[in-house]
Amino acid sequence: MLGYIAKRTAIAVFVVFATSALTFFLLSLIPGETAVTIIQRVFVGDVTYNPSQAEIEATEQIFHLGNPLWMQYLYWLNNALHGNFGTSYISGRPVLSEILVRLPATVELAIAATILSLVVAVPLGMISAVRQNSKTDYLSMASATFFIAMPNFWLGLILILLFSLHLDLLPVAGYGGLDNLILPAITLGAGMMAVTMRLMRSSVLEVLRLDYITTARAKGMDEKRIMYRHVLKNAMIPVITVAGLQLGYLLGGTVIVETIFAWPGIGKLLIDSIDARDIPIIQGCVVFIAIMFSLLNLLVDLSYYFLDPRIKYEKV
Amino acid sequence: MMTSRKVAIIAICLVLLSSIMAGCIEKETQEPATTPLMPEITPAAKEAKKTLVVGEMWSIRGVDPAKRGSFVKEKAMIVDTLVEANPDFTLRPGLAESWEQISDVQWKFHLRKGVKFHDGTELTADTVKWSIERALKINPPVKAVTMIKSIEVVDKNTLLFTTEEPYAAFPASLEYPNLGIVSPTSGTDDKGIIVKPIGTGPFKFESFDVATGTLYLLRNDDYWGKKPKLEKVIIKEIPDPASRAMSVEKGEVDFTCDVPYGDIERLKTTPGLKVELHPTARVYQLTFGNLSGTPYSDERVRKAISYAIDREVISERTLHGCAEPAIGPVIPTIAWANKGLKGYSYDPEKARDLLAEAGWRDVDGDGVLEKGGEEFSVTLYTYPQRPGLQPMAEAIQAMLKDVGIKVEVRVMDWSAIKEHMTNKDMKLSAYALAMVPDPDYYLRRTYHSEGSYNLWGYNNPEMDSLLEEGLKTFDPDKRQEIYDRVQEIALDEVPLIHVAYYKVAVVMRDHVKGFVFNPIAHDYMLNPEMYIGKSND
Amino acid sequence: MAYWFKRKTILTDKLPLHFLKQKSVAIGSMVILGLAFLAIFAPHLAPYDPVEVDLYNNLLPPSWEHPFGTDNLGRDVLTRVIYATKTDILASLFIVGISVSIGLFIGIFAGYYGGIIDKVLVGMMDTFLALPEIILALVLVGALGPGIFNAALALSLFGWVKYARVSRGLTLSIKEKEFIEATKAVGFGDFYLIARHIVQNTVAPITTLAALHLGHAILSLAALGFLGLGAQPPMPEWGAMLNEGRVFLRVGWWLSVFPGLMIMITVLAFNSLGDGLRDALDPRMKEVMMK
Repeated sequence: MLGYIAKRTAIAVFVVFATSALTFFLLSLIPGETAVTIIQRVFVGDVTYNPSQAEIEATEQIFHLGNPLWMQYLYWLNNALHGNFGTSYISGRPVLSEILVRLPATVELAIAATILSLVVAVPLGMISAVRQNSKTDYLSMASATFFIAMPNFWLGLILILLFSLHLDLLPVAGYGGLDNLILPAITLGAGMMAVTMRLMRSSVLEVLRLDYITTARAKGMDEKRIMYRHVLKNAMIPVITVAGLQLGYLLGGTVIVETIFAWPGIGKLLIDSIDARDIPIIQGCVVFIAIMFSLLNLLVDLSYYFLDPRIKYEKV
Repeated sequence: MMTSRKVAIIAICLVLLSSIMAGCIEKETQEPATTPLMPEITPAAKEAKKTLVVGEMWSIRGVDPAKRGSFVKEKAMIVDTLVEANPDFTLRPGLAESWEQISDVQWKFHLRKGVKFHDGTELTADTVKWSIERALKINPPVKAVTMIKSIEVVDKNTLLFTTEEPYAAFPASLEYPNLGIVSPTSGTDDKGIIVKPIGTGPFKFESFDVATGTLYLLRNDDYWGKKPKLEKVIIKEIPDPASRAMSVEKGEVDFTCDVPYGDIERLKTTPGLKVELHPTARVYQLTFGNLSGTPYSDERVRKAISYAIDREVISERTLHGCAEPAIGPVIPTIAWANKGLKGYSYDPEKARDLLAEAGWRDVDGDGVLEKGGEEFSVTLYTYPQRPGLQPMAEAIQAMLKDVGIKVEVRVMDWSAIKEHMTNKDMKLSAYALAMVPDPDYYLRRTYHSEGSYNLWGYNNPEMDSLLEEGLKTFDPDKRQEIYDRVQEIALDEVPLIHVAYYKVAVVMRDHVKGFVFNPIAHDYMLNPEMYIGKSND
Repeated sequence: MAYWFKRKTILTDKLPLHFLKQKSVAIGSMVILGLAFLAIFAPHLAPYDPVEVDLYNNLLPPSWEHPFGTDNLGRDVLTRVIYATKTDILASLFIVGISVSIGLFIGIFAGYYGGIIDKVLVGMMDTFLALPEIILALVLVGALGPGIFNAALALSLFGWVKYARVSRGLTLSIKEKEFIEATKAVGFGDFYLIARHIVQNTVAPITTLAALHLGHAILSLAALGFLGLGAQPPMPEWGAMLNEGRVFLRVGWWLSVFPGLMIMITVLAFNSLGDGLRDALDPRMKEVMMK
């Protein structure tokens, strides 16, 4: 078992490193003299300002911009391993603290979206399977298909149009109380809910067909017990497997949802920093997201391991 | 048999129908805005009468006056500069009560007496010197703008500045926001960046919440100027324009600016709000890659392009009133603007005539002019930070097409434009020309053959000598004469085209009173005379 | 020549007729054909020019003259939506085409050579899966600069992994087969042989993946457009139109509703096709893969 964990962890770690290098390389492709950009953006606050050569050199000194690329990456890596992810070109604050300060908002949104989608998808998926081909089944599957095809940014806009502007029930955007959370959580969770619902349904259908369920019924076990004890637990397995994929959509989705709703999380930080070409922050964000994603995937892998006893005996 | 997919398709049709219906209903009902909710989120809810909540358009990334000058001085009102400027760009005393010129390069400044920093320490020449030298060090452009060579403390209330060369705009340069005077007792982080600024301004720094981008300010009861009526000011960052509009409409903030164009007409008619559109010293300009070896070397071509642009429709409709058709390079309300100038009218016929005169003809009848076998086909670059630029670029594209010039629009980050733009291309920008409230700042940088902003190689010896003279002429009347002539030539020869003046839309709840707009500001400037009064309805 | 003919019959062979009879797939295919028709004949079908501005008539609500209204520069939204069909569909075909090509090649390469090369390539695949595709694409487009070409390129550079997995899996499983030894003896390059075999036998799963990928690609492309990093004005693209429309949400709901609806319809159509393909080919896929 330890071997299993060790192997997965090693892969996760490798992946994070590779991602950081990949991102660093990609970011180095950004054209334009960065020293000039820093002066214009950070010091003067005016993109039309034209700095002198002396100003450029002074700025390059401050930000270590003169060194070759691989050296810059090693500097960065060394610092990162010591907890220093660099400083934002725009705010002058440490990248790590900028990220950590926004982390709770993203986590809050992600958890809300996940809970919302599970709370809707799991029961509905199960009911759809149990009442196969009924009206409920068709309606849920139809809406699932609907939401999978729907772009989440469009959903967000439509929700704002309906609930904030037209009906005036909820705030348009911003971070704050529960009513600020509702629309973003729905927007983020809708796609996930749809996929989970469909998966749940097909997985429950499969489990229902299995022999030991028939046996349990023959034995006279209470239908409800069957559902909860056997069916649910076993049907959840593929759902959790797919959870890893879902996380990807979730993290990617926060970028869009946070932008639409001005939600101060990491996704919005990433977009803002890409717009502002705040390279240290982009690097930090991407690596951080990679770490989170790998960690969560690792957890999913491990929980899968515990849930499905068959894995224990498979050669990994 | 009803498959789930069929249901989905029917559902789409229903959505389509209902959204169309919703749109129709939307159009017909004129919904009154909800009554302003007292912000329950902010702790100042109970003291709403004395608290102003502001929705700031940029991300508040720091409070160091030397780096975030325009925020800390103009919006947060935490610091003052030695020199201040009036809305017409004339100077008035700030922390410096008076100043005089000693020699060509020396100036003596007399500080106001009895001014205290927010922590009670006294404002002295030493602290001023420390503050300015700090700004010079950590913010390189400050040196270029002020041309300070050295600062000497003469006595407790007097400073002697020496500039690198004779510089008539020196006093004006001290109004530059990044020169806000701050005390050495200000709290810094381990990199020397100030995180708890201690200034002399009408409001004191209380705290700054990084996570939500909210700055809390308290009234400075010992302010040397007119004591502010507000007790507290809370500045919240709301970088998203739509959120800003909603926030002010719902009363979550009392004051904000630059809302989406699509909301302006509606907000104007919303009860409880007032919308003011003010022209600023920021101007939308169309610049050329280079004036030699390109179609633009012929003055007639440049004039033609200027005549081809319908500034009215762009300002009124495309930018929804957030621009004012430009006449000369600077807004006419500035004290040193040449008031006698007449701008370019919208005259596509004249434009076509001028182009024909310059030798451009549509030989092959495809609607695009040619000369010497080459098509008049160029790229117009602009950047995304200002919402008016893109629509304006597209409008100009259409107007130039009308007179036979083929234009492709490309929007990209400012630094990337330099990589892509060729001499034959054009660029549209929203340029802030009054970082320093003096004609020299913009006019010399732009129109002098060696001006740092003159990237297109404009070279007019008469202009050069005028600008050099203006730099060292200290007599105000003579200066006005010089700069009047400069603006005249600038308009006549159009080395760059001024399309419109940027207008900032300031939206506030109608119980906010006492606001005085100052176009000096980078975006907007709060003033200590503001207070919360009675709502108009 | 014979090879191509044979390849085609494998697909049609395994495709039972009832697949085509499935209503959802039928409707989906018809919608796709309709969209293709729109895309190809856009200049003839659209009532106006997509980039022609009419500054005095901006932000007009839907009417007979302008069924979808006009945008802030007075351009007809219906026209732009129609032209955007071409942009989005062509771009996603590009994305999927490149992804499939890269994926197939890398997968076969990795499976065939094995060893270090395989480990490295698999490592690369895992890395690319370590992040949500859109984030990597964001960074790349942010670095290269916005534009529809860069956006499409970014999405294709990160979209090949699933195809590589399929082709690698199959390559590994047949590498050992005896007939390879036999053909080696005869003198044919076995890489070519394996490649040909893989391509033949993965047509089914790859086509399914591709159909679903097309829908996904349109969503990603529109997302990038929405964030301002995709197609640049005045090029009509659904996501970019939604981005422009967002500013005017209150006064011009038509700017935001119609482009989004088109995205959804298109993606639904491709998803129907993909799901249908998967359902039809699934039981048969196992058979095919065994061969």
